[in-house]
Amino acid sequence: MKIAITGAAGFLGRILTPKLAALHEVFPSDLVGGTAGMEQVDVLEIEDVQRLCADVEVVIHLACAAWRDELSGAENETRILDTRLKGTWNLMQAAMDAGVRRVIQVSDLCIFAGYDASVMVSEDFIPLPDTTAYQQSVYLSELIGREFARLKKGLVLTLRLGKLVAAGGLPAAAEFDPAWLDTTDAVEAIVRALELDEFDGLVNWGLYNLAADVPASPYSLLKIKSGQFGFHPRQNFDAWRKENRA
Amino acid sequence: MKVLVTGAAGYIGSIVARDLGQQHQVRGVDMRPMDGLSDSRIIDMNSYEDLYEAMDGVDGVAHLAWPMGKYEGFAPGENTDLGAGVRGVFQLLRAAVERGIQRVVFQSTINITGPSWDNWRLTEEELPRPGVGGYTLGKTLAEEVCRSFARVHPLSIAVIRFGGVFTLEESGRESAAPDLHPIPSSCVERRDIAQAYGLALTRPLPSPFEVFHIFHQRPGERFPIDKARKILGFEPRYNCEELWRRGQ
Repeated sequence: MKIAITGAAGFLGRILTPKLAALHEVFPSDLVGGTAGMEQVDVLEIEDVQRLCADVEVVIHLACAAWRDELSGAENETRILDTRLKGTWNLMQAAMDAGVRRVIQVSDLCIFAGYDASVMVSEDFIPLPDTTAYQQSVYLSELIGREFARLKKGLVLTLRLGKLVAAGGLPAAAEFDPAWLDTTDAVEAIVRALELDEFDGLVNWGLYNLAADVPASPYSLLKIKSGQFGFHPRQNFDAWRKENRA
Repeated sequence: MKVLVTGAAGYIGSIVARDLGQQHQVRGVDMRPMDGLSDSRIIDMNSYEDLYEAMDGVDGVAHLAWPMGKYEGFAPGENTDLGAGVRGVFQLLRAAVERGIQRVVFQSTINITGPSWDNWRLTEEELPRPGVGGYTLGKTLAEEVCRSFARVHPLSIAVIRFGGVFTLEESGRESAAPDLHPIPSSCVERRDIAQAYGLALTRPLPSPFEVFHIFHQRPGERFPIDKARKILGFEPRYNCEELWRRGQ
């Protein structure tokens, strides 16, 4: 399978790309590309994303702007919002025009921030993002995905991930967070998302939440575990959970 | 009350600024020069600093500014729906929160519910289906930004949705966008929009985020204005039925 990746030089992209390359033909890209095996693609440039989407079956969309301390707050907010909003729109439009079968939009469970910790949320819950540029950009980019999903069934699979941690390198004293998700599980879920033919539910839009499968999690994993996806995260952070430490 | 009107040089904004000026102190901002306003500033909607400065001493904001075209000769920054449009709303609300402003009125469009128009009587509860077009998608996303800010911060936001904006003050503009709004139920005169802004800026809202249809009054209307009448006390003064009859 020919797979293009945006934001491939980022935290998850660096882990995902070599794993996928072992299974498929991958075309990694990043804003800071231009080196061997990393195409330079600015998602804000429509020609760049058109080039990336040509002749691939799937695009994995990871690109987002990180906060840069040397810029002002407003400049950072502009970069963060523009990259997620215009960048996602450009990418989805280019993918649809090029006949790409699927865009896997990697999103973030943080947009449920507005719910009390005692509430277990599922994909049926309306996100309640805070008003940071980051959470707003994540939430709004999902809505862009939703609108493109209406146009072409199966085109958009939005995968909301928990807080990514690499369990392999995690200090024993790290304080457990129920939103954690091991990067290995995140990569495995994306690999699985490539194969999905159908989505669950009454909509054309594939929307799935994924965090570690732990007791009293604020995120229901029922949909991703039991539906078409059939995915079970393996790392449950036993060694870091308080109930196991007592 | 001191009111900031953004987009005050526009087809609707110029009338909103003029009419609000009868009861309030109005400051107009736009990227283009504004006629007839004693307090007006040319600003860039892409600039947080410009927006923050423009809110000095302001109690309420009527946000009409939206990138509607190329504006040859008056184009500071970039002007796209998802940029100056949606990001502009984010930056405007951030500045409003910083300034402690209590009320913002955001101008949306009825077109974001377009695919549902094959139903009759769409209330404000209708969920938008904006599609991927920049204008409708951008307005929908901007409404969501408003909803988030009103939930998190101590300010209340009224969103007004309308379409088919005509005017009886200039000949030739009596029927706006007849292709989109072919029936007289979905129209509104500019001065009634100005009235709605005045009410939405000052009347108590039942919750910090409320959406209102603003149209002229007709029986059996597709986009009922019952909510605006009941909560805001909106009473449209102009009706385009007479124009429509004349055109038959």
